Amino acid sequence: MLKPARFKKFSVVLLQEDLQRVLDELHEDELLEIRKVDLEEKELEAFEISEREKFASFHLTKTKRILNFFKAHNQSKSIKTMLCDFLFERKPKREKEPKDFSGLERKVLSFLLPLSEKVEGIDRKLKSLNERIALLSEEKSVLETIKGLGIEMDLLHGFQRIEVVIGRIPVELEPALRERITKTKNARLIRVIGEKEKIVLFSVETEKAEAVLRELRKIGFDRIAVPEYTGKIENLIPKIESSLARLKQQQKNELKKARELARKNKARLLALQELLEIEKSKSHALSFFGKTEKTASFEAFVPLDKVSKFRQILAKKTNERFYAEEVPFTEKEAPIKLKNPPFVRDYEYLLKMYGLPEYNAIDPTLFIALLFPVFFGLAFSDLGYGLILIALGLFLRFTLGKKEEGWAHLTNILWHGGIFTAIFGFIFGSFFGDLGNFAKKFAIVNTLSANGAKLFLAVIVFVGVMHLNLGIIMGIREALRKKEYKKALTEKFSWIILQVGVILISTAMVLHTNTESVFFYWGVFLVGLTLLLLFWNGGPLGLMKVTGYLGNVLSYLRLVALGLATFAIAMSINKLAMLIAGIPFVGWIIAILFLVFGHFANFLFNLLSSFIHPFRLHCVEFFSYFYEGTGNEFSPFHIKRKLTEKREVK
Amino acid sequence: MVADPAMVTGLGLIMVGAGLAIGIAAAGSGMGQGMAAAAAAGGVAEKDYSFGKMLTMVALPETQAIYGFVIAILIIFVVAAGLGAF
Repeated sequence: MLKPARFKKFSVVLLQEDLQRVLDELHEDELLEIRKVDLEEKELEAFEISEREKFASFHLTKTKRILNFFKAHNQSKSIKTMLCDFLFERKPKREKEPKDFSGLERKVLSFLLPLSEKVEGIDRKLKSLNERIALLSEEKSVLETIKGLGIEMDLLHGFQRIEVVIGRIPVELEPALRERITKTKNARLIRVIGEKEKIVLFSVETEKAEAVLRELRKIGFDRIAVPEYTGKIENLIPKIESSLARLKQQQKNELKKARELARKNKARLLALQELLEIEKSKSHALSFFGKTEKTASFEAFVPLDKVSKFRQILAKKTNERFYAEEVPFTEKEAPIKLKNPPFVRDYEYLLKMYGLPEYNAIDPTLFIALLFPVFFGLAFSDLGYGLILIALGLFLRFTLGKKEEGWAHLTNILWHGGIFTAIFGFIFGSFFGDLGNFAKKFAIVNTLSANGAKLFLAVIVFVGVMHLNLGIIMGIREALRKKEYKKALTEKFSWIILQVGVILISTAMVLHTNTESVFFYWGVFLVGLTLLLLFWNGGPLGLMKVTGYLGNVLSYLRLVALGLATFAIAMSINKLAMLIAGIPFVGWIIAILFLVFGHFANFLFNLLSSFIHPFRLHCVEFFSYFYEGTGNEFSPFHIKRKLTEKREVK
Repeated sequence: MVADPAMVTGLGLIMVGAGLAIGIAAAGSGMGQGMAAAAAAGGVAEKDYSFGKMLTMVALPETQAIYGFVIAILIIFVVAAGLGAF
């Protein structure tokens, strides 16, 4: 529990003819992490990329493209359906895996390729329809803009010596435009319309058109590209509208086809995707292997509790024709797999956010599991919010948590934290702040009184010191394990000596009014000894660590700050609600709404900070004494099946 | 309870002092944390596994706000209480 799982490293040689059977079987469980064989050292050749891997990769890309197409053209769901999909698990019907690779090939040929053709057909049609709809919409918009000019479309095109130009210009710039056109030889301003902006129609010599337009652009003129139609604009617009309606209907039909295709094939396609991913993972593993003419060789880390199963599979699938030798390995190359009981396992999630321990280092998940919910509760500390958190956490645990393991861990952390939130809320007399003065009647400590606040501060400082001491003790253990004895004494144990010294001096102060007691002298000696040890460790800068240590202890006071903040904000919401309730007639209704939304917001804000700050106390203060978090996570040769099931081959 | 007007003024000033202690410390801490968080967000976007370590970096400037909080608490509950405010 306090160490990551133990591993053995094996170097395995087997016949190439047995290889596929072995890979198929090993891939079904988290049995091993395959590592690249040193080909030069072992005088082996590398495997080429297999046809199976190429096949799987190619068709996996195709599958993903179709799934993306289905996703892009998905029917919009109601909020209720989306919520149900998000919360509740729908157990899919599992598809049987094909007997062998040729079965997979047949499945791809008979199902994926025809589906892909259909999808590509619909996709092509949709793209073409979208382009045409966009073009016609643009043309319609242009025609509507220039409709007021009252000119026939035939007159806008087809002249050899003159060019007819239509464009827009801001109202305030129109006089400048008029001036320019008037001054230009053989140019003629025909018509100007519009109020918000001016639409201008003018003619200009074809030869000079480019130069004139360049000049006009400088003063803010924007030419409108007019589509080449004939006839009256008024008559053209309805024609375009009817074309648009026809195209949109076609688009609708194609979308319907796409949705129908998705409805019929998505589940099967997802299952095929899983099969192809498994195939790719298995065949890609060969790039880590080495080979001779008839044998294949690989190296793998196997968790200690899976070694016998690993050997059994090798023996069964090769008919005992294999050679597996246990080989030594260094701490740095070992994979890290955390091994904790179920309750503690939830908190592995938090540890992974920081980094995994090294192979022989302490796994601190147990301490996080024991203390994180307590710190969370101290930071939140409200009976009402705590009860909501427990209910919410448990509800999500048995809905969302059933769907995904990550959610299961997170929701467990929520309701564990909720229990302590409720407990501390009860102790400090906070029920949605001071709502109804309910909890104050049972409060054990009143944090808003001078004595209560001082007691709260003292308790938190004590908790902080004990938490740090736990870190220091583990730090000593780590330093001794690495045979860094000086570090253990000067950088870790020195803090224990300092604490004993401070306790002795404090005892002398409390017990004796004068300072001439044995306690006092021993205390001063121990504090001096600590300073010497720190100086030995880091020179003058080593002494600065005293302020760092003090900062770490005081950092725990954030829990008091957060606890008080929860209460103070909730109290403010209650007081404001009471003021609102005084409004005649509707006061109570608004007050209740304000209370609900106010407490909901306070709950969310404090939920976030009560999670972040205890996490920080572990990562920054606690871990700084012993934890590095540089381990590499165990990456098993395995893909968990969700939609398919393996066919047992006898 | 305090009845003397001079004492009331004094207590008021003590409370203002407490407010300044936490207010200025929190503002400075917030600015520092903002800078650190902006840089950390970039770092995490590039290497998402560094979230934990980036959080540590972002959390460092926060300690100053805690110092301010401690001073404010001490002013309110020790100094003000000593003058009979509670």
